[in-house]
Amino acid sequence: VSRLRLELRDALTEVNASRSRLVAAAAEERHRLERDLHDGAQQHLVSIGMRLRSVQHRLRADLVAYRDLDEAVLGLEQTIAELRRIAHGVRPSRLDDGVGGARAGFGLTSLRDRIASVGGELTLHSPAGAGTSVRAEIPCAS
Amino acid sequence: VRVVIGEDSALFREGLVRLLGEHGHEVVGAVADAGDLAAAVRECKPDLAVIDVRMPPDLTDDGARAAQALRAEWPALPILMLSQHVETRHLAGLVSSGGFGYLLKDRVLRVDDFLDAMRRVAAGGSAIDPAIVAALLTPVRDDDPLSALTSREREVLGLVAEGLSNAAVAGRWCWPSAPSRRICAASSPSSGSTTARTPTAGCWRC
Repeated sequence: VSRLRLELRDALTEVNASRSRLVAAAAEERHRLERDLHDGAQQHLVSIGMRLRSVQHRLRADLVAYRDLDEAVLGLEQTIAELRRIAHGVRPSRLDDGVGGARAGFGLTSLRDRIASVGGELTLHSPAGAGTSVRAEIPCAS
Repeated sequence: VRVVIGEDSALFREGLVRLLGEHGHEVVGAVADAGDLAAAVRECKPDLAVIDVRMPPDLTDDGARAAQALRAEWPALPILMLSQHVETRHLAGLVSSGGFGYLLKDRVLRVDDFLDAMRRVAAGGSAIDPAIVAALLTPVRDDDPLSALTSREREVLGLVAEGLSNAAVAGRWCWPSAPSRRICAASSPSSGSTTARTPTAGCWRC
């Protein structure tokens, strides 16, 4: 029995380690995507916009083309803001006026996995008609 | 304004050089590596340093760290940080000292606003991106002192935090500047004085 217990403990350690590796890989991938968006697409769009502003600077302000360029740059700004939003996700600031009734789908399950990967526990409290609270408890090293 | 630029993206750097040149400013030095900033400032003696937060060698927050080093060596040198995304952790320590700005990179596309902000920073004032101010002014707890402000007070505090003068804040609503001064005072829980302005939201929250 003690040998089985040891094997079980080793197996659990291995499962936890592989789960940690998976979570770390996913986080790294997400970070890389975010960096690519910021340094690649976003930066290019800003540079194109600066180019357009430079062209506009050489035009008389009463020309139709001048206003057209304003609109083109506005479109670029909106696209950049959208990219920024995609890269960061949307962070809710308040919980108290929610509708409740949340069930563990993909999102909450992956949160639970991430917490579990560092030996913690996630509890969900979401009565229908009221707010939802998610509590994550993670043991500290000591 | 004589400017030194720290920016690793050649496209953005050249765009900025062109933009500033077209509006009567002079780029006296431009470096792509945070490690070269101090030498550029020593050599070119600019009125302002414009620095990207993320630069080589590490491509993390090298630009922000270089800015802190510049501030330590040349306390009077105004610094304008540019960032690709909203973050507030680099503000502490730099923001309270004046002559400091922190803007999202795409603000350069609003040319007049950007040049205004740049001139303000070069003159020793501050310019903090509205998106960053908004992040700082969102109450994070129910008992957050920010919750006690009315939405108008929070709006005024936000404009003050961006670095606008009382007169500029008043101009937003066509007020004479006295009411905005009063609201600024009301919006600052740490200050009862009607003349002391809260320099920035970042400073106040820290």
